[in-house]
Order: sequence, then structure tokens, then C-alpha cells
Amino acid sequence: MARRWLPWLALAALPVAAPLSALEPPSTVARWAAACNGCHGAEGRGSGAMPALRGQSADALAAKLEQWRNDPDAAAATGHVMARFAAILEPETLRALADHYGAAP
Amino acid sequence: MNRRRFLTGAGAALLSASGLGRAIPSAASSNGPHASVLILGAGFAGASLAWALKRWAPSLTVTMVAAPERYWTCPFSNAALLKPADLSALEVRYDAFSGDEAPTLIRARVKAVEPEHRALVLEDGRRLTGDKLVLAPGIELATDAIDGYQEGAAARFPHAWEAGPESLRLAERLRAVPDGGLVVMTIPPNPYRCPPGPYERASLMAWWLQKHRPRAKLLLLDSKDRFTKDALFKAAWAARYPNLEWQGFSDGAGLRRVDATTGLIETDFDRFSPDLANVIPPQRAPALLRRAGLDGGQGWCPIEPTGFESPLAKDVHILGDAAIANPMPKSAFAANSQGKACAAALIADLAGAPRPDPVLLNTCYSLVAPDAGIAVVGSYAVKDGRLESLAAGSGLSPSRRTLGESVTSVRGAEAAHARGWYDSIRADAFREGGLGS
Repeated sequence: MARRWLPWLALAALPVAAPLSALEPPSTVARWAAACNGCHGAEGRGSGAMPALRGQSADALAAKLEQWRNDPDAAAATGHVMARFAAILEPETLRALADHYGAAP
Repeated sequence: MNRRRFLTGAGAALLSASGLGRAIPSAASSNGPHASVLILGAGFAGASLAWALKRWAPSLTVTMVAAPERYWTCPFSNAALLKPADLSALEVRYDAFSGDEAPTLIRARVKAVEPEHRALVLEDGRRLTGDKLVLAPGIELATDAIDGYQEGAAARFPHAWEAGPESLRLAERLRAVPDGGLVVMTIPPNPYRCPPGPYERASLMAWWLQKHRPRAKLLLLDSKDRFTKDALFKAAWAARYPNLEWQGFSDGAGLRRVDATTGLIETDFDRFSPDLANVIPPQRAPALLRRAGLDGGQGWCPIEPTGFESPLAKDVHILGDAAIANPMPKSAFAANSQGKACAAALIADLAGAPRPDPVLLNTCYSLVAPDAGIAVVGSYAVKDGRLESLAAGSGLSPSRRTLGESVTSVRGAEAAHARGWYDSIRADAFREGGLGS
């Protein structure tokens, strides 16, 4: 009887956190990038008039988002209503998002 | 709490008998035990959730159950009224849902939802469970809420509010309207799937009629007085469509009764016998969820907004159109955004970590003509346990007056964005065009 339970006891001796450590909630930038991809396509690859974000220069992306954040009305007047989203990005998230797409091949 | 979750997994019976107080699911892999998420629905919410889970937590077992019927997206189904041949392009074929890195998609009908067991009972007798159960089944048309709308009335009054063969039927019926004829659209009270959808459809129908039946008229009978992007739509109609008339609830346009035999449409103040009536029925959460008590008797299912978990059933999450997520609209983009936010929350729950603040956005494009689009965007945050709109992150396309002479080019750019948006969100939600790396 005791023998039958031995393998289970051995497993039970493992630290509880170990098997769960593989699960890690996504970072802030990963969650924001996922939201951006709703319009900009899987992994930000874009489609047609919806530009690819992936592979753009990080500095150029950051500059565009900064410009839109500072004047979303002007962006909307050129057909870019999404500038409103830039307006609610924390500065460090904005930069991290630009780096995220800029670093992708 | 997480241990308790694992205890309910496949190895639960054995383990609780062992008295060890710790679960080893039978699905344990070389990486250690892993958790499972079971999803009802493979539309924009369910599919977006499934891929986000596989992206962020590849060890999770993700199983989706969706009806075996073919599925066409509602987005862009209004444009298919103008060009019915385009409808086939709206079909989602789920080609990417195979292989080890993909969620498992089971095409089967579901007979019952058992929230207390996080279980789905299939019509073929199978019973599936998950450590988390996510319900994203879309809507049910409440045709019984319309007086006189009995079985078969959809043939007389095609709604086309679920895309597919109904869309073709509506397109055919539109082409059968004689010049000088009357087309009526009845628009339901809030909330319903795709708030700007009726007005986009009206715009495109008016565009088609103007071109092909110049003496025909389109009358909109709305059960409310305000609607999304109403100033933009009304300005576009005033500039483009003298053949379109909108009447709101205060004008007596609330739908009172229809007669499927005679084709009569009766409002609070008037009666019409149109050549075509596009009756868009009121809507509610599907019966599967309501029978399980997940709507709390309200018709739609309440959720708490950090993880879209039902306050009525622990570890049961509800996404997309069936959920009460206002001020988020019942839109494809909101469903996509909710799927990803829910994925992050599920992973946090299963890892025993705090849920991150959800990133929740919405973008709805509408065509006011084939080459002219308008957009609304929204951002949302959780405040005091409720979802709120963030004013700074929300906005509309500028008015015609603001745009002046550039209105044609800006509306044209937004129409192009709308088409790019459609291809993009399909690629993102259903991983069409190959897997991202």
C-alpha cells in the first residue's frame, strides 16, 4: 500500500511553484502590442493601407507616436483617428512599443 | 487557490483520494503539470483569446468548441450587399487551427454549459472541462420580442444580422426592389451587435438605390433617438443621400408589430407596406448561457472587467457580444481586445499572480459610401471595479465642416484604412496568412 503511493509522495515533495513557473503573465509592452495588432495585423505585419509596424525604425515610430500624442486633432484631420491611443500611452510604454516593433525583423 | 484549480483537473479524483492535497493532472508533460482553458466560440473573441494564450503561455492546453456550420464575418458583410460575389471572401476557414502550436478546434454543437463544473456538454454526449471555461458565443436574435414575427418571417424580412446566406438573400431582395419602391429598415434598441452596423448598411443601401433605383426611397425606423457617430452619419446622408430618411423613437418610429403574411410594418405612429423590409431584431445572449443562469435574468451576461470573469460563476469568463462590457461596444475589435486582455488575466490567475490592468481598446470603421469611411476609437480602464471610457483615448473622425475641402480625401483614406483593418484583424484573430513568429 505504502509503496503504491511512493511516486506520488515524491512528486508532492517538489516545490509547489516549480511547475507553475512556466506561466508568466505578459509584460505591459506585450499586452499593448497585442492591442495594436488588432488593427495592424498578426505580429504587427500590417495589410493594405494599414501599415506594418514590425520592422519600422524604432526612432521613427516613437517620433510619430509622440507627434500624434501631442496633437491628436491634427492626426485625425489626416485620417488617423488612432492618434487618440498614443495620447494615453505612458512615455516609457510608448518607447518600449517602438523598440518592440523596431527590433523585430 | 491555484492548487485548488489543478485539483479539479483530469487527475483530481485520484489525487483527492490520495489525500496529498496537491494535484498532478494526468496531462502532466515533461515541463511539469499544465493547466487547461476550454473556450466556447471561435469568433473574434474566442479565436483572439486562444491565439493570445498560445503566444504567451505555450504550455497551456487550449481547446475551443465551435458550431460545425460555416462562418462568415459580420464585419464587411454590409459591403457584400453591394457586391454579393465578395461574400465568399468573408468566410473564415480556420486553416491555421492545426498542429502542436495551434489551439485545438472541435467543431461540434454544445447542448449545455455547466458553470459549476466549468464544463461543456456536447450534443454527441462528450463532456469537456477546463481549469478555466471561457464563453464567447456571440448573440441570439430575439425574434420572439417582435410582435407578429413568427417562424419563417426572416424569409419575408431578411435581417442579415449574422453574415452568410442571409446576406445574399438581402442582396437579392434589394435588387428586386422596383424603381420608385420603398425599402424600410427597422433598427433595434440598445444594446445589440455592431452599434454603427445599421447606419453603415443604410448608407450603402442608399448608395446602391441612388445608382440603380434613383426614384426608390430608404426609410430607417429607429427604436432610439441617438446612435454612435450619428452626427457624422447624418451629415453624410444630408450631403449624399436625399433618398434616405431617418426617424427616431421620438418621431414614433419604435417598432410595434410586423405581419409576415402581408409584409406590413407597424410603428408607434404609422404603418408601412414596403417592397423590402430589413427587420433587425433585438438581441440577447444565447440561450445556452441564459439557461445556465449566467445572465442573472438580464438577457446579457455580467462580468467583472479585470478578467471578464462572471460574478455568478468562479473561473467562468465571458467575452465579446454576450457580455455586458459597456461602455465597450459589441464589436469585432472589442471582442479581439477583450480576448487578449482575458488571456493575460487567465495566465495570471493560473500562475497565482495578480491580474495586470487590462489594455482595452476599440476601433470601429464604417463606410458611408464604398469610397468613404468614418471611424470611432475608444479606450477603456477599470475604475472602482467598473469599465470606464478614457476621454483622452477616445475620439471620432472630424466633421465635414472641420475638414472642409479635404473631406473627400480624408474619408477616402479612412475607407482604405477600413479595408486594411479588416484584413489585419482577420490575420490577427484567426492567424490567416500564416503564423507569426
